[in-house]
Amino acid sequence: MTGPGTFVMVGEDAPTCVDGVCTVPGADAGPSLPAAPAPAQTGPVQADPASVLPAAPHLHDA
Amino acid sequence: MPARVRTGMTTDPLKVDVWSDIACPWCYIGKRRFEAGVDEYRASGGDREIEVEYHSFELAPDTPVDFEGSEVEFLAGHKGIDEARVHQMLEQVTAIASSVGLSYDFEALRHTKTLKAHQVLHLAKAEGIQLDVVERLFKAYFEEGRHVGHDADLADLAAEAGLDREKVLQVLADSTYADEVQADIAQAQAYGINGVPFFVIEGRYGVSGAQEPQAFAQVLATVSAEAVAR
Repeated sequence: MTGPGTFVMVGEDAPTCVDGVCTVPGADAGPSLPAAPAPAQTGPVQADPASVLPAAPHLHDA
Repeated sequence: MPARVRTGMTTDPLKVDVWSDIACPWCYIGKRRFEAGVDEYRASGGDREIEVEYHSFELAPDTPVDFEGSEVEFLAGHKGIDEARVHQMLEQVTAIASSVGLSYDFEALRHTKTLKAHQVLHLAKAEGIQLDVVERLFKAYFEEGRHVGHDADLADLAAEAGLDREKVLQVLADSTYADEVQADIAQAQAYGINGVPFFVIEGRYGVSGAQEPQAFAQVLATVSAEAVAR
């Protein structure tokens, strides 16, 4: 892969690690926990909203 | 050479690029969920060969190689998170890891800088055994309390996964793959990736985080169907 791309994002909020902090979406984060961005913010803007896949079933990890 | 997880029957390999860090607990869990997603894809009739390539992402560049302290102390001290909250977070992660068959041991974990580990993963890619080495380093870090920041330790682990130990030491001494590591990190920045794991399927679909297996199976099936339709 070369050069910046544009992705169609798939799925819902999922556990991710940002700047050394790993969080569970939907968990009671508490006041001091830096929040993780939503997936749509993590990747570049979607190129073709019409082709976005149906969202995965809601996660129950938290 | 990217690693191929399974041989399928039709068309070109389906490419999956993964940005990940060895020190990222969700990345190891995400690896397991992706593998389960591939199994779901196969079970539903998917037969495309899948080519997986791991790319470097340094989750906490400010981590010293020889951090003296626990994961709790790192997160509380370096990231300013309340210690009780850190314990809660680690318990959550450990429980979810267990649900995918992983035995995380944050008490034993040795926090370190992962830049050299990424260089080893680039050597492993060149040798065609990247997934084996990725798995070995994840397991060493999260389950075995092994250090993944020193040359000798990395060489031992890489050798266990099939790389030549002396070659690993030489590559690390020469920083042979340092530029490749930085190129991966720069590519992630160019893509706007600021959290890991991050999966890019066929250069078009992005999957952020340790999604459930069905999310991966779904996108693999969709991409396969698109290829057939073309």
